[in-house]
Amino acid sequence: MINELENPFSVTKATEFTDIEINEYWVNFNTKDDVSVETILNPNEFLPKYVIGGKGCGKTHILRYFSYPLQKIRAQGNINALLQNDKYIGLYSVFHGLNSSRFEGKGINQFEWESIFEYYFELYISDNALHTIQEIISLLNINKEIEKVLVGNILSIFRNKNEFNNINTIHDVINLLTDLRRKIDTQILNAAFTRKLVYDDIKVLFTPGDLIFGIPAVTSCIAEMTAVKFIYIFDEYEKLFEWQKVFINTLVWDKKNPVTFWIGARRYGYTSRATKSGEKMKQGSEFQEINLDVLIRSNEGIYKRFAEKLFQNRLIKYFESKGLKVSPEDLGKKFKEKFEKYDENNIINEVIQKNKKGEYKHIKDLRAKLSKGMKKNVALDIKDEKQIDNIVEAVKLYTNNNPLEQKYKTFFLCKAWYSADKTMTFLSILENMNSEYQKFIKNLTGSFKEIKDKRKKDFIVQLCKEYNIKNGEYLGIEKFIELSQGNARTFILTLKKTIEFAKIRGEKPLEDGGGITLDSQYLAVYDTARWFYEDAEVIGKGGKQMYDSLKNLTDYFMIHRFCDKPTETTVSCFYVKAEDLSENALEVIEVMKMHSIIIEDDDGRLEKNTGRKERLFQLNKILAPLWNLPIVERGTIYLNKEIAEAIFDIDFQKNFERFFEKRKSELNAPDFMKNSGPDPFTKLFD
Amino acid sequence: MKNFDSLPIYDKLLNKIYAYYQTIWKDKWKEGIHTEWLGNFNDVDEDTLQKEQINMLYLLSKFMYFGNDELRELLYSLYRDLYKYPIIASIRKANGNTTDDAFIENKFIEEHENTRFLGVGNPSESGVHMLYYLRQECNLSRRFFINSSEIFSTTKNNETLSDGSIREFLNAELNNKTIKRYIFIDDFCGSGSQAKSYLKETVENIKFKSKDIEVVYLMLFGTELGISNVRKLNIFDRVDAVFTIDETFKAFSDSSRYFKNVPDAIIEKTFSHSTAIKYGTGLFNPPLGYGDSQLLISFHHNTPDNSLPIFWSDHNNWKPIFKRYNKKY
Repeated sequence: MINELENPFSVTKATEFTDIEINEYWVNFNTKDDVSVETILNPNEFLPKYVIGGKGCGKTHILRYFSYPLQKIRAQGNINALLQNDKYIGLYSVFHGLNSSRFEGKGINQFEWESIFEYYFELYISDNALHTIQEIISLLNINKEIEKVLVGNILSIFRNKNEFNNINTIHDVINLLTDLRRKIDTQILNAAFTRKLVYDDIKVLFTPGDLIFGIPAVTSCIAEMTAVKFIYIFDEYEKLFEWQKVFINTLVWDKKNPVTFWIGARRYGYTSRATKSGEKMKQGSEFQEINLDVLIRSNEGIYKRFAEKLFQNRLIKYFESKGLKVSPEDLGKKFKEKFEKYDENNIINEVIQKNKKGEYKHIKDLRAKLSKGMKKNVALDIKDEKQIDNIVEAVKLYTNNNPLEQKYKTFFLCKAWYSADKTMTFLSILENMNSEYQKFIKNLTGSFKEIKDKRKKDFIVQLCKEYNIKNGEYLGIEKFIELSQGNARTFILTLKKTIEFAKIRGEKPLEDGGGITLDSQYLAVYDTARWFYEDAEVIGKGGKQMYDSLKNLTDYFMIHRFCDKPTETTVSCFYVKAEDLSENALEVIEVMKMHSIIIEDDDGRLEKNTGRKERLFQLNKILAPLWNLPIVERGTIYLNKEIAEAIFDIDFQKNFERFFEKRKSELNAPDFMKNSGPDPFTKLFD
Repeated sequence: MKNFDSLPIYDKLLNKIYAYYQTIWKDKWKEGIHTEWLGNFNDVDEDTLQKEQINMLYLLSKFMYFGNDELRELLYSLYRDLYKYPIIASIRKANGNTTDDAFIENKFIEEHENTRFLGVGNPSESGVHMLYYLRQECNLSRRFFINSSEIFSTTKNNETLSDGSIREFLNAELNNKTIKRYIFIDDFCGSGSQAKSYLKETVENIKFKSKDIEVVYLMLFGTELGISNVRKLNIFDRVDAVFTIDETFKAFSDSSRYFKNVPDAIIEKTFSHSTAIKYGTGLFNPPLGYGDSQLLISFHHNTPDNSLPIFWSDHNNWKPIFKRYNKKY
């Protein structure tokens, strides 16, 4: 049986970690310059932060790392040191815990829900603050008299402060708040039947913000806490209704010393800057937006080092749990060495092995295409099958039966056929082809060197597809890091699956003498890609539109990779003239971007003639294995208005099949002869 | 909506198998077990070999293995759905469709007190083995379980014949005359032959003593043929299975469920069939399993010989993936 605990990468979500694990598995994003997460979040300043990021970017891990339980672990329980050095207390709460969707419907009007939510929210958040303060004053050995003063200060916030006779400790205040919350819980529960909230029972005892800002302020009566800031760290902002987000924004906008806020949100849920005052919050002066995805992706080198430390850290903890002492560097090196190396020659040899009996598939295809061209009278001077035999022999000539070399020659042939005028003969093309090819064999520069440099990867993948061989361009730990594109969870999940597959295949990936085969690596990458695809969390109509568009986009990319005459190499990017596109298309592009299905390159693509910057996107690399698409950022295609809308706009998607077939015919023999001339799809820029 | 299909079929099938080993087959995982098993298929022609392995992997991906947890759940289901609920239904029917919980519960306890559960076969066989788990899963007292030998008690009697001589003879009587219901439990019924050989005489004797005693034969899994054959014996008041295996579970039958939609053109029923015969011939007679059942099924405690022998046989150095422990008679 495979034991999950035997996998150092089994935990892929920060919510599954204990506080101790959050601390132990923490790796700072860089440690030297100003790109460090700590310096960017900067707990020393009061400016509120909205920490935005896609799923698995490390947001929760980061936010929890700055919370009080983690501060305490780092300070080894020394509360004085914590307060003196950190000068802040992080109060982490998850909006999910509020069960915020309860505050809706049941025949109760919106205004009432808003009031009750605001009141409840304050009680909920203050509970966490009070528990933390209670622990701090206990660790500081604060005497009962001072605690009583503090409690008196807190109670003075309440309108009915004179009614609280027996409340002398923080514990009593917590009980008071718990009791108030329970009453609201009961009212909300019963509202489904009573269709009303009974306010006699609830009684609003303070105005919004009084407790959230008031409790931290009154802690100044404790000498050790006079200079301490309170950071309310709220995670999962995306789980709130829009009006609830507006309330949170209002608190942030209206913040009072010694309080500030850090709000964690998924990108798709970060939808409002509005406040209840009607004004919108201003980025920069009133809050700072920290986009973790952009931050990480724009620092590739740092992310690579971060990812390496991340897996080393997991391995160290794993081996230490088994009583083994190992150095991080040795461990990282040894682990990397366990990964079987991908070698393109193995693919070529496998194709040769699989094809001992007859002609290669690409040769058969070439015959069929020449024959079809002949019948359609578009194959230059070809008049009979004998000439086709001669062409095939010329393609095979000097290649030593190497299928990749034959692919290069087939490409040369198709390109020349496409460009040829009607007076040209295949004989002249073949002579030119073999003359160029001989130069290539002698390692001289020429057409074939360029073909190899630009198109080798695509042709190898074509062979993989034709012979049902796994495409190894995604394999190896460095590639895993690249595929994860700044998303730590994707990287850890790939490793988790790699270990799982290797173990089940008996490869002993974590033991001396064991290894991780290419097969295990490939299955792990493929499974992770599938997880990413299926876990996009877009439901309903929006989800269907996004997936339909993704299907169209990847179909369109694929015809550029699996064709006779690719115009671009390794296509995984596209750019559009955004101002031309319909709102529907732009909206779907935005949804795909928010869910990291596509990633926008902020540098855009410059039009050489006008210097205009067009919007440039890449398919998320982790999705590429699902379609055997490339991950290098090299080939970019232009999607003009018609095609872009056929891909992304539901109103025009009926046109996609037509554009797709047209494009396919332009890229493949012999149909490309109908369209020979300048390429209308890709030649916007020279 | 999905348009991706870049995983070669061989790997796609392996991927499924790995997913099974991580979940529902986890107690059957042994390092390299699937590689060893695939190595059994060794045609010298590489193309044929590849096709054989893919087709056999496909059959493996359709194989149904019931682990310990699943069997325990099925036993609970047997107790609840095939034993308890029918009794409750009859109590309600006899009492004007009453919904009085307490009344029904009391009546059921009465009925239950007069019921005994027995395994099919000898104590070393799987039918009896199931009783242990049934007792645990359904939280039943051990007094509800008896051996077949405990149904009757025999007394030595004398009779004076007309010539004055004394004849000694044994008289069998029902051991516990308050028992109204005997439930025979089996894990699997393929052809029904075991029910006949093990139970026919015993059940006929019970009925001879008291035709009002209800005798029920319940099984976890039963083929349609097996269930029908047992019913035809006309000795049981009721014969039922939690999981009925119909003709669609027969791997290469016309109505086989496994080849209605295949994920790749390389997977063919006729080719899979001939491959299973080709390798099964040296393993068991008949080569597609007892009674030509062609099943793809195994249990935590054993694999029935009705399943394809290529999965369970270890004859002639064959490496099984769901090994069968053969009975020694």
